[in-house]
Amino acid sequence: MYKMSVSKILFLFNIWSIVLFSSCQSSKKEDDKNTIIPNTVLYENFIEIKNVGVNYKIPSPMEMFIFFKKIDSPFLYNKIHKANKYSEYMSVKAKAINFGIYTADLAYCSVFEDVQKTIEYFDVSRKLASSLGLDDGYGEKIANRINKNITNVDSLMDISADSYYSTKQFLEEQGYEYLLGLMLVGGWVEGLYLAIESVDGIDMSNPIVERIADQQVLLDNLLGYLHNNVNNKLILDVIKDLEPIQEEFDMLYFNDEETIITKKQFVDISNAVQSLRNKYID
Amino acid sequence: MKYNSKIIIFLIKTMSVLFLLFIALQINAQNCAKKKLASKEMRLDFDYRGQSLFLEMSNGDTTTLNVVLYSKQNYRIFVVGEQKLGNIDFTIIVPRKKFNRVMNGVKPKKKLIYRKDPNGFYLYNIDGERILEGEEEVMDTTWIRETTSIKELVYDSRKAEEPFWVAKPNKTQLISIKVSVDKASKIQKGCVGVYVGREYSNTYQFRR
Repeated sequence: MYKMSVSKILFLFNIWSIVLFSSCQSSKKEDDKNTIIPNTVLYENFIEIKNVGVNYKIPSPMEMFIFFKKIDSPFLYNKIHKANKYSEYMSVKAKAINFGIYTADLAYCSVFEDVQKTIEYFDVSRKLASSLGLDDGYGEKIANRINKNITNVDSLMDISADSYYSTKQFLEEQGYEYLLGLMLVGGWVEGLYLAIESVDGIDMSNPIVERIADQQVLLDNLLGYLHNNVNNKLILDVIKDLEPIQEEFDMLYFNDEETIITKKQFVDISNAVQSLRNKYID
Repeated sequence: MKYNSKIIIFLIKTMSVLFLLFIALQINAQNCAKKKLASKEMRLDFDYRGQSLFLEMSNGDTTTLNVVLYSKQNYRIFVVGEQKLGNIDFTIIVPRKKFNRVMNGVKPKKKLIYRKDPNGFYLYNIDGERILEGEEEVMDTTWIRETTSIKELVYDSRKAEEPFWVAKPNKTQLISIKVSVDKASKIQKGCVGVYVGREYSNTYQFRR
């Protein structure tokens, strides 16, 4: 009886130990799966050489908005997403994408020094972040910083940038890459939408047109990031969502060296972006 | 029986210690972004928040970071790691893609027609939906893209005079930063920071 109990306990202990250490292993394997070049090469001296993978990053929408401000582009406060719509998003996908859209709007308002709207969009971003379980970046600490710097527009911009990057970092650290992917897509689409809206009609001389064409490179990197996390269904969905925009951007590759973007390409990209943005905010 | 419970207590204690050790290792693996790996002199007055990468690597590991540099902005890129890892080298490569459009086929396809303004932009109704006008059959030409890629090496830390790369691209471009940690007979794990810094705009002087 006694012998059996001890052996049972030892057996359970062994199982537990195996589970514990194999979980370390499997998480490593999972990381490797997310890389494009997961090859492991064993060298002659038996030192294992691992390729930690290919990582993709894109500039935040704020960098583009700073450029808008620099060239005196107008602040289109009536084009940003309606703040009161945040409570209508129920699914994780809708919440995460719209969280990205609202953080882009927050960045836009802070760059254009609209204090009231910055606070309003910070609040909306905070609420959506909280419903996704992401208090990092939009918690009480940051809210206090905002209250203390309410009259300092440069600080508000800095704080909204901090919030954005803290959330990004938190999602990366916690292994919520799929949520980060959705958020990045939302932010990228909103930034591009505001860029398109900032061009008056089809004024191809507007310097923002070149920034819009530049988004082709960002889209390539964004898709690279999404493909790293393709084992998630929500990510597969957004990759599909982005296809019509990618097809329009792909046409730019066929332009001659002097042509960055033609009027037709600009209009086609605008239509594809507008359609996707409407789909996401509805 | 008494002996049995002693064994159980011993095993529970051992499991707890192992569990705590496991948690500690996990936390340690995730703290690289919070470590100040680069000195102020190395960072200078650049904003590194956007596209930098912090990760744990071991001797012999390699990694690649693909980032986008906007045109007409100053960037400062460098890689640093914890001392125990030894030497860390990095190269910066600018991949230049060239595409050829090759016709794949032509087939009839039904296409929905939406109302557009004189510039060609879709018009939307009050609900934000496109206004459907009808449908037409079009001959849809499908194309495939043949890609050729040329990789230009613009920086190699083993040959460079400075331990960082500064650039102000004329054109917005993708760059690949390839990082490799030197091999060692005794493999160490440590944090590596791939710093991609963007110069602050004069109008907006950030505090960092």
